[in-house]
Amino acid sequence: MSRRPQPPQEIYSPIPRHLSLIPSLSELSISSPDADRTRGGSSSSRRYNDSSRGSRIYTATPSSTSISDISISDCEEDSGTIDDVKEAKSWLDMTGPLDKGKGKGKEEEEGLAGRLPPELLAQILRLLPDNKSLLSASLVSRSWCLCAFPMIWTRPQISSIITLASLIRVVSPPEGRTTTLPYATTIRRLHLTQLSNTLTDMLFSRLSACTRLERLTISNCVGLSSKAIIHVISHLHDLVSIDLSGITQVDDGVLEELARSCGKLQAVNLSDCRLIGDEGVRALGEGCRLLRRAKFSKCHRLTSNSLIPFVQHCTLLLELDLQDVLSITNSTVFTIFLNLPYLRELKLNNCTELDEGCIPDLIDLKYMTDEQLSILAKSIGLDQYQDQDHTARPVVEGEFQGIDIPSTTTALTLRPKMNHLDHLRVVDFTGCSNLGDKAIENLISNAPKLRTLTLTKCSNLTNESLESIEKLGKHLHYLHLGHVRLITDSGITRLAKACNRLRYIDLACCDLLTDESIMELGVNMPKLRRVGLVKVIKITDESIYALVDRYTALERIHLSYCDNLSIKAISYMLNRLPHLKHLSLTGVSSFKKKELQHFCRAPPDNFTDHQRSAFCVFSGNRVDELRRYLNEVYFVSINGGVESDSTSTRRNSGSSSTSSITVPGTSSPPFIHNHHQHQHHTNTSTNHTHGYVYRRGSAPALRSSSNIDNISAQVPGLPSMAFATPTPNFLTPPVHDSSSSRSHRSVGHGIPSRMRENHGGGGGVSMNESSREASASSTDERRSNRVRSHRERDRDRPIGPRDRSGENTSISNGAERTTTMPGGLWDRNEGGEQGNNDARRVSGSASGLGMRWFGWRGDNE
Amino acid sequence: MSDNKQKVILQTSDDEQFTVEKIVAERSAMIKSMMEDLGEQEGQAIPLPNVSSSVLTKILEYCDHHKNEPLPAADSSDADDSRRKTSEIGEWDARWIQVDQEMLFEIILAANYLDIKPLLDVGCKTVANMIKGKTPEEIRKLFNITNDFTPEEEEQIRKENEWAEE
Repeated sequence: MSRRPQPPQEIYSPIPRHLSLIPSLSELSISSPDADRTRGGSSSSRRYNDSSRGSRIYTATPSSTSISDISISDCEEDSGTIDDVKEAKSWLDMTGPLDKGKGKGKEEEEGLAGRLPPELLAQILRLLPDNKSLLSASLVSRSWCLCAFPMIWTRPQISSIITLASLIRVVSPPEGRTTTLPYATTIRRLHLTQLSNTLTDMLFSRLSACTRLERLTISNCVGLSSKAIIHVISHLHDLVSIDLSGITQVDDGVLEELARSCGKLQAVNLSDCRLIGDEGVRALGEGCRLLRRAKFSKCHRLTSNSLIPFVQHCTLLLELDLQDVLSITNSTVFTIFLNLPYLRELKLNNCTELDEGCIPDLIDLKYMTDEQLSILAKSIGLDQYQDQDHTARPVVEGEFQGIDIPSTTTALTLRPKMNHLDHLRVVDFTGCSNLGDKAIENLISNAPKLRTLTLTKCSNLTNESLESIEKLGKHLHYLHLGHVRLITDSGITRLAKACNRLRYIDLACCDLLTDESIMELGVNMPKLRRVGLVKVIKITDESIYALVDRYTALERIHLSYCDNLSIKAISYMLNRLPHLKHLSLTGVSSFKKKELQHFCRAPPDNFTDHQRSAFCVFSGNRVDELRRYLNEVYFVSINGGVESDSTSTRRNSGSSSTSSITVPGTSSPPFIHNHHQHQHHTNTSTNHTHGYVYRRGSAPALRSSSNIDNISAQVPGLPSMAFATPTPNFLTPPVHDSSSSRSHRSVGHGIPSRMRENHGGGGGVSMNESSREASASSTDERRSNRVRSHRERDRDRPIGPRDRSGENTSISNGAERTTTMPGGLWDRNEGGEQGNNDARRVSGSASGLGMRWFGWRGDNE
Repeated sequence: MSDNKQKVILQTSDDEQFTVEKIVAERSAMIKSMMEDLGEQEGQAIPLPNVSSSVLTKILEYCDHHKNEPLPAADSSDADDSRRKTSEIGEWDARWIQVDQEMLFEIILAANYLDIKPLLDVGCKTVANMIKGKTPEEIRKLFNITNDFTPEEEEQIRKENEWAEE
């Protein structure tokens, strides 16, 4: 078999089902002896004698279109396989009993269904929902059977050991008996992990009959011995992927057998196979040079002695997992960066031996003389690993012109094969506590398109690393910096400006960070979905307001042990984030309240009582329930009935905007309700209905994030409120109606001037206005009303901001807003008085406008 | 958009000619590529030797109704799994495909020949729905298929596959 590496492709993408099925047809023919001579070309490799009718023979022919070929060439050979099916069909037509009925006459007799081309029949059968229907279909007639049985057998669904036993009875029949159809060689994939506790050597060994198996997953099947595994894989010459993770019995013998028998192997998972050692891995590297994915996580006996040659041989690797392979050294990682041009994913968690020098600067190496390289090789300890057979080393990417064959092999070992690791996307250095800034600098310059970078607990890293990471710019989507404690606001600020496509950032325990960092995240990252701020203890409510001020796509937020946060800020945040699915607030004292913890999910079983009492995590629907509770009960009960004279004024101002009709589409539940009410008051019922309809219609569009972005781009940070420092007496006894908006107004003072300017520019939303008005004016009665209706309606409605029309509205109101906002019209007292209503109103306005438009207009009051 | 108003002539197996809007005819990837190959030849009929006029009439109805939808991507063939899950058929399509069995299979064959993927899908789903939940005998009866298994053969195949029944 060819050992020559081919250009890598995403072979691991699942093979389209129809392609994986049809080829097996091609290997199969049902023929009567007569028919057999007509197709003399096919050499029958195996014959299945039908015991009941000696005259018919099923022949399996090796086909040129084996599945593995297809998978490697990325499944483009549709036409080829269909030809094969046609061939099968033509053989079929020659079979015994049918012969008499052939021709026009038969068509009349049979109807079209009986003579559907196999590829069409296969397409139909593929749409059947379950095996039972497929089984029925396979028993209809021979031609149907030929189409249907591969669908049952290619990837048999085996859910219990009993199923497996009866399957195995069929595929490895006792001596002298044969099966009707070549079932054993039709099987391409076996996934036996569900049977991990019950699978034994006895059953498993008989799977050696499935010689065309391509994917075998037996992870955690701890009942298997290495002997049985060796026996089976010695028959699987087509094996492409094997998952042996968690089988502690796997030893070097298994790897050596893989190397011997499975030259096509492209993926191997040996995680937790703790017995394997250098000898096996070295053999694997020599035997399976097509490997694309290799996982050695927790194989702690492995050392650089085997991993370096392995990497030098398997230069097609896309994914390499060396988690917890504790003893690997700089030289291994150095080799990885020199030899694996196609690498996409690299995991080196907890490899504490690694330090500054583990990653080369490829460009630097390029310009070094052989002599310099030799010296470098010695210093890293690579001089002993000379690649013996140069021929086996692929010439990769022509970028490197001017490679003369170096005078010393040592230099060759160090001569990189490429300038960049252009495909590298995922790097995990979790717990590499000795890693230095220099390593990160080289990493980034070698891998300019990194998407996911995990540096958790790389505690030596500083802002310097952040400056390197900055260079990834928009390529970076995921960044984990938990416990990288030395980083500061200035680093994060720069990073946030450069890497504004981040979806995920974790800064847990980076306790030097303050609100300043979080504000930058809030301002610069429209796509941020998840943010981890556990134990970033300095942050305050201001961070919360800033985080949700501009963009509202956040789905998961971790704020545990950020003890400065108030309920009000969290409530505000909840109302701004319609997609929030997870919120952790463990150890936040303001949330240590029975009535709030009621919504929290159950703590993990292994928590101590003390941990349990602190545990406070809201997820899934609980987040919505918490939001609703805070909006409708908590603040209401604290505030008591809220009605104020200001209501009427406000209402008038609010009514100015007829655009309120558009609001409903965007609103979150509480708001919808408010809005609805508002319309009642200010507008006619017609509006109301209209709004309702609109909302429905607009629902599908809600999720479009681009819409959101646009909106936000046009209206720079709206809510002055957002930055308001919470009114101190927010939770104090009843305030009357409130214009919490006033307190917000006062907030303006707290806002950094930069932001304030932004806000000034922003438009207030008339919608908000209206909804706010509504809430303000609501009487108790109305409120209860609202709650009810809100519940009824909101259940099935997507929550959230984003409504184009809302945007317009808000803009139009901008002028109004500008005047009032920055000034902070209200004094603190007033704000405080009305604080409690604030929250309610916030929620109300948010819902009305699709929260995005939290437009508080000072003027109305 | 005068381009869309362009007409194309299609000639069926029974020598009937249909003049249709180009945008309608282009639902068929086969006709589309044929037109591209032939270039702009006014008045030249495109022969469809595998399609009868009655079937083409029916299919043009479908193409006309869907003419403004985006054409499926060329590589959409591996959307298989999702197709399997969503075996629902659109409301209009479901009503449209309520035809006798002969016509149903004619439509499937023609859709295959003309390369109209969504139509082929609708046809296959319809047939799959007919098969679903039926016994082999019921299926044979439904489609008038001859059972060419020997009894022993049938029994053995049944046995060999029974593990899959769950």
